[in-house]
Amino acid sequence: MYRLLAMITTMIIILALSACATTPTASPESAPAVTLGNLTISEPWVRAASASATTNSMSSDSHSSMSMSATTAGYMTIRNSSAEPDFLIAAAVTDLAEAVELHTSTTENGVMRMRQVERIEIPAQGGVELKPGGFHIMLIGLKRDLKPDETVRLTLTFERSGTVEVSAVVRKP
Amino acid sequence: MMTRIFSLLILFAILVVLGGCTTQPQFKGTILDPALPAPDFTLTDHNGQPFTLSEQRGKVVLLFFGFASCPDICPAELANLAAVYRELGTAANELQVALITLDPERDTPERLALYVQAFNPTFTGLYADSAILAPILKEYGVFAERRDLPGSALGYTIDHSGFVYLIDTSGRWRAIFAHGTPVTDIVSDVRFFLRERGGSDGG
Repeated sequence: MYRLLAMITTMIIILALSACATTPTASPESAPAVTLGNLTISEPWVRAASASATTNSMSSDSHSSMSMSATTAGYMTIRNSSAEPDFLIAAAVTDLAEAVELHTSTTENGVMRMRQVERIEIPAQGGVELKPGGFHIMLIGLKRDLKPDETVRLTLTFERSGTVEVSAVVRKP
Repeated sequence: MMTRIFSLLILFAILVVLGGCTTQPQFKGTILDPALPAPDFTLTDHNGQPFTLSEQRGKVVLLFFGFASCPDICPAELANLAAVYRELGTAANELQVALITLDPERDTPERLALYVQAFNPTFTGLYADSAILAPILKEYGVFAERRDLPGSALGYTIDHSGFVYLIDTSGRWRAIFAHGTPVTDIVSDVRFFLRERGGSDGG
């Protein structure tokens, strides 16, 4: 009797708590993981974005075209099963952006900062997550709109493991 | 005897949990007490129309400062605010989300429109030149500093504080949310401030 009542109490609390909680949204489909030597790259995605309608209007004036350029960011998880660290040193796209760079965002004392980085370490026997608010691949000067559910090809270059191409899903901003 | 104690415990558990679901405003954001009149401003929206904060009375306004060349953190915050809007359902008709650009040099109205409307068609992008912007930033305690990025095609970035400011339906500045505050927490507080306007049913 004692045990039964204790179980009922627990169940009521669990049920009631789950009634309070919001249901998590299902994550969009993502491409299968890609391996390159000791590296595994999973769930690459790029944030949807609109290219500015007026990007090309002043193509002769480099400052203006730069100042009009739209940007977005790409994310993924990279695992390294090797005993040595590796480094993501470059990312590239074809006919999609004027420049692709590696950046990191940090938040300190409520201030958000973004900086370009030369490389992103994938620790030995570990991994790194490129995600909003942290490391990301930045696409600068988008040449066209990136719409949800389309895929884009990203070429990644690692210091030790070399180069690989991955398909990144475009997700809602 | 034992049975009675447990019956009471069960009843108590139900009451506590139900109470947690419904009544008692438990604020999630940082509440300004006493509430201050929100520093007013008139900026230009992404359609080129004037946007005056004090004319938004009747709605809860969530203000966010950012810039369109910020592809990482700002979209994460705006995506959260878009989720807040969705979670609110029909009550979202009385919510106005506005992004004030810290980068008027690059953020033309066209660009702001594309940027904010990608998150939600009702979101407004606001801009003003630096001279008009500066006192507003000061009044809301916004930190913003242009930082050159040598070697980056971006040219420069803007380090900035990432708080979301809640203005209630009477034009008073009531709460601040830190960057990354969970969507459900913001929804909870917005709902409170929308209900509060109804007056009688405090919860």
